[in-house]
Amino acid sequence: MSKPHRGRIQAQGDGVEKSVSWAQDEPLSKEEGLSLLAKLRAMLSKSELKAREKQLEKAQRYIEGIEGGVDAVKKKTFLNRKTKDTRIDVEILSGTAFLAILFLIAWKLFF
Amino acid sequence: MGKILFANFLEDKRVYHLAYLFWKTFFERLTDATNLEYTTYLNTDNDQDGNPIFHAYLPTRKRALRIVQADPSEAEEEVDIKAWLDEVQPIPDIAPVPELVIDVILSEGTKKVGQRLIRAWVEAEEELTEDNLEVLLQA
Repeated sequence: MSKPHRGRIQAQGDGVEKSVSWAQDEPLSKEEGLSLLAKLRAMLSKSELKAREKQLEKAQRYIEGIEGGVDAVKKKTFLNRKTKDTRIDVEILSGTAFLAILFLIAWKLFF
Repeated sequence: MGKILFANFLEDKRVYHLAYLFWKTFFERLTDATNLEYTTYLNTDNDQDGNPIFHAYLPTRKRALRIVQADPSEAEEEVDIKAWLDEVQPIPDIAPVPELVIDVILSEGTKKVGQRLIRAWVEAEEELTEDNLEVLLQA
């Protein structure tokens, strides 16, 4: 049976398809989301990173700016407009993600 | 590029709603004409960022559409519109379906291209390919 809280962050386009994902029983915390984004950044080559530097920053700002988490299904695309499809995609496929630690503690208390 | 449409849609909620209605009205004109039903499939609660501004799943066609309307200040080309194919699971427990993603700076010039892509996506019996999209973008 699949885990209730699932999602992924992907570096896509121009032949690249690298991703980090989560599948777990509890909502993903904002800190875990940022950590996954950093992990994805580390997976990219120099040229892949250069083409997505601003898009990674935008994805980071998006995650940091979330208040109280977001519920699935959510897809956010951060496109490098100088290219055809070079981008970072953030996808919450099931459950909730990017909860601040305080909200996560509350979630654990009530659920 | 032509005139930017709904230029301040990210600053003005009323203009944002008008931009949303622009896409929705065009899409529903096509689905009404073809007797196709659609549902939305993404959670866009509290989002006013154009990412996406409109999304729809066509169960009969087994395909989805997501339109991202980008900040006009980020335009990189005269006619700044991109499109690609992705996949999405619009409803739990069904197989993923093709998703056409259109990422656009909406202007007089890109409006026609975007509408051409959406029309093809809704009306085509066969699934579109990346090559088809390229032709539609360049036409």
